[in-house]
Amino acid sequence: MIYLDNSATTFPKPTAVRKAMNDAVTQYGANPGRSGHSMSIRASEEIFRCRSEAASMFGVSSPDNVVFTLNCTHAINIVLKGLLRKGDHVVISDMEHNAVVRPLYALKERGISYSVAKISEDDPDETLASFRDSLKDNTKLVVCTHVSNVWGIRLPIERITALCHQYGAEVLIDASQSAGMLPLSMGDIGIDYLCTSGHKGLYSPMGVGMLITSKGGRLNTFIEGGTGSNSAMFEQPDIMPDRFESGTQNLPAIVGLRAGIKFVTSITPEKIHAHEIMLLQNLYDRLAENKRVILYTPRPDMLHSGGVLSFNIKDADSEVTADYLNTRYGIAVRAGLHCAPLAHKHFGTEKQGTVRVSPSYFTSIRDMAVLSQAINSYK
Amino acid sequence: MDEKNAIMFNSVTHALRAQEILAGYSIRSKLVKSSRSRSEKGCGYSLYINGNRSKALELIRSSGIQTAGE
Repeated sequence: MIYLDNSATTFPKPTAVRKAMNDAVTQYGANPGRSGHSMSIRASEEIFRCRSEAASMFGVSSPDNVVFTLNCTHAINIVLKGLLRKGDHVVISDMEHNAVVRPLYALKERGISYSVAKISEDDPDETLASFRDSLKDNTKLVVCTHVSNVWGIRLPIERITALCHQYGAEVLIDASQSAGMLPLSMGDIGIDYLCTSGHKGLYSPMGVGMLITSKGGRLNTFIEGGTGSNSAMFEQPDIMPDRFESGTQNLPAIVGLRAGIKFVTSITPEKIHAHEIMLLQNLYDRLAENKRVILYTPRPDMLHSGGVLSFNIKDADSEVTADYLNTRYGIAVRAGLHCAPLAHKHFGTEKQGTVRVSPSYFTSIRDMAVLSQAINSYK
Repeated sequence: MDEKNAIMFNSVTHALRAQEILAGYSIRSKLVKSSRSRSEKGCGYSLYINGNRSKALELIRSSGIQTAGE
């Protein structure tokens, strides 16, 4: 199979990730942060090492500020439901995933409102103006994806963050499509809340994400439970990261995440990004020669794009196209709305959906050639 | 291990962070689960300091790490 669905989850995982997970399960698979025996202490130490690696990667001073979550959706929900109160207003981009839109839609019942800022796919100044026009006196939070999971459009989060802070709003960045590929120093950019998954650009297994923030104390909890700390008290601990880590942690996934972070760091995010952009440029140029192919975004480049490209074949249903690629050629892509209906509304593809190609560091130029040949053969 | 040399933490993450900081000053310590008699709030972790406890405590506090029971 030619796997080009890495925006859903990266496959394969690096050998070091698989080995790390196997070691955790076979050598020290005790519950971390609960018992006092050697295996539990070892498990706690491995979790801490991952926290430290993540803190270093994302430019935060303390590992306490790294909360391990189930996934990016969970991390986003912690912030939205923990921070927002009745009467608050939120601004989001029109590229946001349902991980952002659905909780905000549900929060309308609690008197929280939101506005959608239309971004420009090729003019960051226009994007910034759109955010500025959407801000209100009661805007408490701006939520912005770093890279669109449908179109690969890279938003100018540095400028958006600076703008929002000028207006007194905090910023949540959804980094699930950019972590491991684009620079994301929270200290440098000033991001208030960074949410990401582990299993995409960080090459970890599924089942782990992160919320990274120094402002965890401001967030109410919506999950309380055992944390292995302050156990005699009925109140949920107010110390980070315990506050948001109730229940048993996913030790194998977190250990795998550390190995994934080290894998990415050893190659460097810049190299990974350059590789993926090179592949997508190659594909884009091949597809542009086919009059039946619809491309919606400009040619990918390092400044404006992440590792995602969507297209369609004329008016063919995107799911039919994806099924053809899978059945006839063993090529795995994702079709449909990609859990991001707002992003499809931006380009008018709500009915057709799109076929999304998302390579990884393990994808080759030959994979792009086979894909374009398959598309050219489509009848 | 002498409990007088122990520094308690409510969170294992805080204890491990403290241990790492102390190691940077060549102060060795052992991480253990806090004894029930010492931890008022229930479960926690302690570092048993192999060296000057006062100095260790000062280093930990100056790093902004919360200790328990001090």
